[in-house]
Amino acid sequence: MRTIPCIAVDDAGESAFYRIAHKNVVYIGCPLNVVRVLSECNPDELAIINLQDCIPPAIFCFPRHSLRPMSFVGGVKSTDDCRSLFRSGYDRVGLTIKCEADIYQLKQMCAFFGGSSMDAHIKLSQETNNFLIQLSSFDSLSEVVLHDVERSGRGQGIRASLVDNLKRQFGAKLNIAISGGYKGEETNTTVYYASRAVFADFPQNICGDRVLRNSILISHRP
Amino acid sequence: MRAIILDLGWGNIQALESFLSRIYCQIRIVDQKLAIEISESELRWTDVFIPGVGSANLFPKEGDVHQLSDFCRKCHRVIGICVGFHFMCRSSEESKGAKLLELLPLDVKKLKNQKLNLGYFDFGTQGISKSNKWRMYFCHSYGVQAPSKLDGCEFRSVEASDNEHYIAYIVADKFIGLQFHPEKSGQLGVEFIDSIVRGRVLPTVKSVN
Repeated sequence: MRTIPCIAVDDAGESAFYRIAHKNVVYIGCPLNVVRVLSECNPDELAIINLQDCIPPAIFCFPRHSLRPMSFVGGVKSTDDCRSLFRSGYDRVGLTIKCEADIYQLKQMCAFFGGSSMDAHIKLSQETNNFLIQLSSFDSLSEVVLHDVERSGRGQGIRASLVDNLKRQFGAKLNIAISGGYKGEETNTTVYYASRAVFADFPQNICGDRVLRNSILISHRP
Repeated sequence: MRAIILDLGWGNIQALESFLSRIYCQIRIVDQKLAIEISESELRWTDVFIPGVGSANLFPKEGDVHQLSDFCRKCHRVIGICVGFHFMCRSSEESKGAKLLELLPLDVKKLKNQKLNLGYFDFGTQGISKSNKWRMYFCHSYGVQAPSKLDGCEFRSVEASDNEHYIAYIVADKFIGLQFHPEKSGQLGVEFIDSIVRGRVLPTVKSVN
């Protein structure tokens, strides 16, 4: 299982937090600091989840502080948004797929920026299979990330067995990953993880460096 | 040593600038019009970087490519990253019919496997390994197939899916192509570019077995 730390940002990109039980959010400080500290722990990647409808200007300076690949999702509406994000240093940009029109827009962006730079984020629903069939026909696509939890914390959560089934079906053509709603089961896929498990233990597990761990925890808002 | 980042309308320019500031004392971001106005004497001591992240659909028009090709041949060194490396080649399947810089006698092909080549790979070794010192970040669906031999060039290949071998980096005189992203490969990426700049021997394949 490949775990990627996921930094959720809100408040105009000025605060980062993780979630407990998909509902409560815990403030962990300035996102710039979090990006810098996590980047020094050499994770495979860093993911930024923007919880606002528009892209806050503050997030454009995050990649300057990371020597690791960074991906971004949330609030991306146009080709210009994508261009600005790539220019600032994000390696991959995700588009949330809610309807057929989103797939058409993603296809246009893939044609423009290359499929290797684009991710599709899908909330699990009855339409998921239909979306995955359509995405399989893309020339190339970086990753399809599955969610089953909303901003409010509602959702059934994702069972590893369901994802493994989808991987068997579509794995030959698509890289399938899990994000919101993951319940912690062992699975043979990539997991974008915004929780205490990553932020509290990740630096210590990888580097065995208590200072790094503390430098994140020290900025907790009580 | 000075560096120029070519702004051709694609690429992670700001992240690359931040990365190169660890190695070079002076970095400039210039677009095509500004680039061709730089004097030859200045170019003789300047390394030019063509950034990655993007697609061949964003390559410039044919007339502009001729000017850029002349510009690159006057530079001290030209380093292309990912799609920047593809732009330095002879032809690309991704941009059929488009004129490229032709600085390297190579052709870019689509990976046989439909899935993207994404993640950290070791040079010339099989699959992903954590024990190898030289692990670099790759993210591409097109690449340059590694020939058995290429006169006047030093190159290392990486194995993608289905036993396909693609060039990880190639050094042909002053033209250097990198399929991976050194700016996203942590401290190893810094060491790699630092080796190039200081003229040291480039990293060789280290066995993972």
